[in-house]
Amino acid sequence: MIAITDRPLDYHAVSESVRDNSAGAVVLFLGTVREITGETQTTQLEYDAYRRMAEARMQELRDEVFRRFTVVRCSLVHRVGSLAPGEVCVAIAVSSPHRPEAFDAARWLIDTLKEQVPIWKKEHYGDGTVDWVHPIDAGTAESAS
Amino acid sequence: MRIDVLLFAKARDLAGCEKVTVESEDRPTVGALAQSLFDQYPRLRESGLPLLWAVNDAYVSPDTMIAAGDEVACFPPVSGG
Repeated sequence: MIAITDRPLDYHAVSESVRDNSAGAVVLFLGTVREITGETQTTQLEYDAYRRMAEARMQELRDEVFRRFTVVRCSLVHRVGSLAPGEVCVAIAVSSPHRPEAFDAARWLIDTLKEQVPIWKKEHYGDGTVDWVHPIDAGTAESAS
Repeated sequence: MRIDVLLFAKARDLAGCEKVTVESEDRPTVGALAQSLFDQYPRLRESGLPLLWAVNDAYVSPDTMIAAGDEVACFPPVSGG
């Protein structure tokens, strides 16, 4: 399951999609909207995507995870639109015969998704300001190739 | 040659639209297209916003050449997840 959705994320379905009798471990990672970072309050995150490329890139990550790790099944779903604190923005599920590979693969997937997939968040703060999040050390052509 | 460039996030805000048509030489490199884009939309240059380029869903370097019919996108560093 590889998808970008504008509806609340059915992470149970994402997790179920990777269950398999040849797997002994399933790892589900959820990215959620954090309300407090230090002294800063986030009231809303708006996610936008270059959908065509984001889906293609997510598909490539899925293919790559099978080359790098011993994985049975893998699903990635990212949500776009406006999200409130606590809501789920991304769900990644991996199944493997044994747990070390499942943990490693899931970690690699979220780390790499955050570097490479063309999705952006716009943060709404408690003081009323709004700003796109464009980290300087992420999403470079070098790290994406 | 006229090339459509899709813009996203803060790049879209700075240019004021989600797709811009850039006038450039025939079969430009991405680097040359970027300069033409900045000439037409100086706020993108002035902002100092780092920009990435993609052609047909793949990240490209400045020396990649663009052909007619390619889908070109330009956007700031990503922040999904």
